[in-house]
Parts: sequence; structure tokens; C-alpha cells
Amino acid sequence: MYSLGNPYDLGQTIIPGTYNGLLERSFYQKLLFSGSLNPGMSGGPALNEVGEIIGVNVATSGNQISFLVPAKYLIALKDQAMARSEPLEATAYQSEIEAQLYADQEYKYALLVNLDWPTQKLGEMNVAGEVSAYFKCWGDTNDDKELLYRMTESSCTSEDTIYLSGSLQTGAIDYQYGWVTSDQLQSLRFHRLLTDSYSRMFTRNPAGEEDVTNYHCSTEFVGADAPEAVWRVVQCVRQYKKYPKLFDVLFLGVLLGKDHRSLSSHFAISGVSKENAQLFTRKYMGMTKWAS
Amino acid sequence: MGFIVEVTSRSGRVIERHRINGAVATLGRAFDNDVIISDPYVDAHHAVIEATEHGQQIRATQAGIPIWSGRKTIDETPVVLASGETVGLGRTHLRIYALDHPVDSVLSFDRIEQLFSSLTTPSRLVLGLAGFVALIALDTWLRSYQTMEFSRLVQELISYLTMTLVWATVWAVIARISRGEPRFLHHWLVALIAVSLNQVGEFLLEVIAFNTGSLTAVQVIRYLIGGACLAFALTMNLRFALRQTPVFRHAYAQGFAWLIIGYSVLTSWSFDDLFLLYPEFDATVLPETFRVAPTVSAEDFSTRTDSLYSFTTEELK
Repeated sequence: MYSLGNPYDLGQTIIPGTYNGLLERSFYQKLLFSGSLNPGMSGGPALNEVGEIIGVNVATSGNQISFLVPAKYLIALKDQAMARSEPLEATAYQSEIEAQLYADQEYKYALLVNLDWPTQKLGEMNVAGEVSAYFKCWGDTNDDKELLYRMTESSCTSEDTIYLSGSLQTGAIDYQYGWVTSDQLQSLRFHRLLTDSYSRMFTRNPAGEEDVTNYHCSTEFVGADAPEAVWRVVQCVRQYKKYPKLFDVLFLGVLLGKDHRSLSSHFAISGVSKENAQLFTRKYMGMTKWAS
Repeated sequence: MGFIVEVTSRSGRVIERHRINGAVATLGRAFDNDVIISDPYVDAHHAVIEATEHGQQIRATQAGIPIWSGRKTIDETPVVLASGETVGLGRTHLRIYALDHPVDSVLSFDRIEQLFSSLTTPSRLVLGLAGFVALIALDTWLRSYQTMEFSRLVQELISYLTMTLVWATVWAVIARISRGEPRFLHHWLVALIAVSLNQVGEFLLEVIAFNTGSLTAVQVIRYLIGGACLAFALTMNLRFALRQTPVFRHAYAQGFAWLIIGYSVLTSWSFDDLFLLYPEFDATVLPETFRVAPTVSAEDFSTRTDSLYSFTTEELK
């Protein structure tokens, strides 16, 4: 394969590489191209050995890990453009982008909310496992003998984010659970640990003041299905200024009432409509249950 | 007939006080003077003070050994002094009073004075200090979920003790100048109590933060607790350091404390409109036993959080 582009404005360059198939964990198809894409090459074509366009340069993770949009999307885009009687007015681009972002999240969340989420056991709780193949999940346990507590974490993240500008990258879906136990910490100290782990959460979208509002947050105690247990839940929401149908939503819950055992539960979703955010929240909250 | 001669320091602190019962007193280094002054810059027979119907008048006994009165020099010509006026002989400061010079009204030795006097006996102060150290140690221990390091505790204690000692020293100096008695231990005890109250207040604040989750409420209450502790400390320090009526003492202490708090509140409010990359929420988590706020169902939670999605036109600009 050969990728063509203008890296760092150095002039037309041909980059050789290897086709490594389609990405598995992605809502939309992407080609894995083992070649060096660099800034300035986005939008350039990638050709096969007989000179046919097979994809469009889109992103890189460095070290010859690059991604291409398959040519079928380019054909669809061309057909869509040709179907228009008149070109899109410059002033209509923003609403067009919003419509596309809205449609994208409608597609993703309809898929996610209607799936049967698999559960996994974390400590004494049942929590959401790998919701779909579009997520990458991993776990971690601290095994430092010096620490007075033990924390086991399970994290999942979607690989799909949409790059809108240097500061606005939307579409991410992350969720994380942390099961914490300690037989050495006194109750107040144990909860100090929960406070610290609870306060470090944020969404993956590094949006600036021109893109989003400040967050609105609310704190509530929500009844848990386990006896004598209750959730302390914080939910925070901010709205996109240019695309007001979309929001970033952060959810943080910590289980109280189970002596020296607790679960912290967190999700962060960006670029989602209010309705989908509420559906996702309800589904997410319903998944976390006491196992024993 | 008669008058009072005080030998004072430059700051006005009384070193010696002599009551002269006759009409005339001589001053100098010689032992046959009525007021003997041990100052090598003072002549053996330096000055004479005489009580007259116009007041106390002073003169030098001979030319070339002047007496200083403000920027003026007094020589052998007698000069009448106002009661309470200060003159200088060599490097010695003297203050001359008429016998009928009015004195300040008696200071009240009320319950608070008695309480602090009884608490600042060495044994009780050591006990109180041990309590303070225990409080700081407990606070430091409860705020950490790591293995407690002795060096960290010592560091905390040193910072608190330094802070309270500096505070007490400043007030002791003010008191020494104003009332002639520093009462360092009184001022230190005040500082220790104020810091302890603030520590207890911080814990109460955590309980409020845990239950309400409201950053604004927590911030306002934090300022109120801080202001109350500062106002308490200032009121007590002023009581022990300066001669003031209770009205003035309270006016100064409360005024100063709440001025500082007001400034802090205004400063923090002025940052309210700033854009933040991260959400601001209170993350305080305490054991369930500290919860007094009611629980809601998951459905109610969804309804309650509905308003989070409403942003004003101003916010969207």
C-alpha cells in the first residue's frame, strides 16, 4: 500500500506500508495501515499496488500505527454531494455537522442501550462487563504490600472519538469500576481513600471555553439493592455551544454502608443527546448489583 | 506639695517610680540627690525640679548640662512642665506627674480573665498542649490512608506550633508596650483554642459537604467558621493586650475578622464565572452513619437530574 500526502507541508510524499485488516473495536470500519502517517496527510489517498484508491488517510497513533477510512465511505460521500442540486452554503456547515454528530450518537446509543449488557463480578458486586465488541476493557489490581488497602479496577473505553478541532474531540464512552477493601484502615480513613479516588474523575474531551459551557453538577443519595447500602451519586453535565443538542455527561457513584468494602462506579460520555444520556444512565445504574 | 518622678525606657515603660513629698527634688548621679540616676551622661548634680503653684518646673543646675524636652533644650532658666510630660537627662528619660494626675480606671478581672489565668498555670498548659498535639495527631491520622509517617506528624505539629507561637509573640509584644505585661501564655492559649476550634469546624464542614454536596454552601460555611474563629482570637487577644472598652474591642475584632472574610468571599465570587475544564463537585465521602440526607430511588434521581441539562443563553455565549 502507498499513502500519499503533504506531511508537515514538506511537499507531496509517498509513504509505503502494509495493510493489516479492519479494526475490530470500532463502531465504524477503519483500516489499519502499518505505515507512517504524519500531520498534514489527512484527507490524502491510500492506493493499492495497481493504483486503486482503497482508503483515505485519517489518523495515527505513532510508531507506524495509522488508520484509513475505507474507500466505500468516500464513494458514499461523493454520491451524497452529487445528489445535491446546490452546494452546501458556508453558513449551513455548522448545522450540518451538528446533524451528523447527532445522527452518529443516535446510532451508537440505540445500539448500546438495546444490547443485553454482560455482567462480571468485581469483588462482591456484579458490574457491566465488556458491553460490546466496540469497547476495549482491561483490569488492574494494586499488589503493593505497603498499602493498607486493596483496589481492583475494571475499565472499558470505546476506541471511537470524533476529532472536530484541537480542543474538541467528542464521541468517547468510558466506564470504570473500582472495588476497594481494607481490613487495616479505620472507617474514616477508609472513606478518605474513597474521597480521593472519587474526586479524580473527568471526561476525556479536552474542550475549551469556546466549545462548551461549565458543568452543572448534582449530588444525591440513591438507594442501592444491597441491604443497608446506599449510593452517593454525582452527575455533571455540560452543553456544547456550537452544537446545543449535544452534552458531555459525567457520572460518579460510590457505595456506602458496607463496612470496609466499597465500589466506586464512574462513566464519562461525550457528545450525547439528553435523551440518550438519560437512557444510558438508567441502564448503567441498573447494571450494578450486589452479588452475594 | 509633692510630685512623682518616673524613670522610663525610650518606649515609655516605667523602670523606677519616685514619690517626692517635699517641694523640691534634686536629680543627678551623686548619692546625695533625691533621685539618683545611674547614667554616665548625667551630671552628679544635674537638675532640680520644684513644685510651684503653676506646676512642676525644672531647670539645670549649671550651664553646659542641658535637659531635653522634645526638641527644646532647658538650661538654668526654669521651665514649667505639664503633668505627664517627658524630659531627658543624658540618655535617661524622666516623666514628671503632679500628685493629682488622674489614673486609668481599674481593669475588670472578670470570669474570662480568671478562666485564662487558671488555665495558663504550667501544669494545665502542659495538659492543654498535650490535648492540642493529640488533636492534630488524630486529625493527621484520619486524613491519611497511607501508613502514618512520624516525620509527617512532626512536620504538621511544627507548622501549627510555629504559627500559634508567632501569633502569640506578636500579641505579647503589643501587650508589653500597651499594658506593660505581655501575658504570652494567655495569647498562646487563645491561638491554640482558635486553631482547635477551626479543626473541629473543618470536620463538621465535611459532614455538611457529605450530606449536601453543595460547594457553595460548604464554601460559605467554611468562611463563617473561619471568621468566627478569627473573631474569637482577635477579641481575646485585644482583651489581654490593649486597654479598650468592650464595645471598641468587639468592633475592632469583629470588624477586622469579617472584613478579611468578606474580602475572601468577594474574591472567590469574582472567580465564579471562570471557565473550568473539569467539573466542580464535592467529593467528600464519609461513613454511612454520618448521612442525614434522604435517599431517592433511581427513577427519582433521573427526574431530579433533568434540570442539569438546562443551560441559560448567557451560559451558551
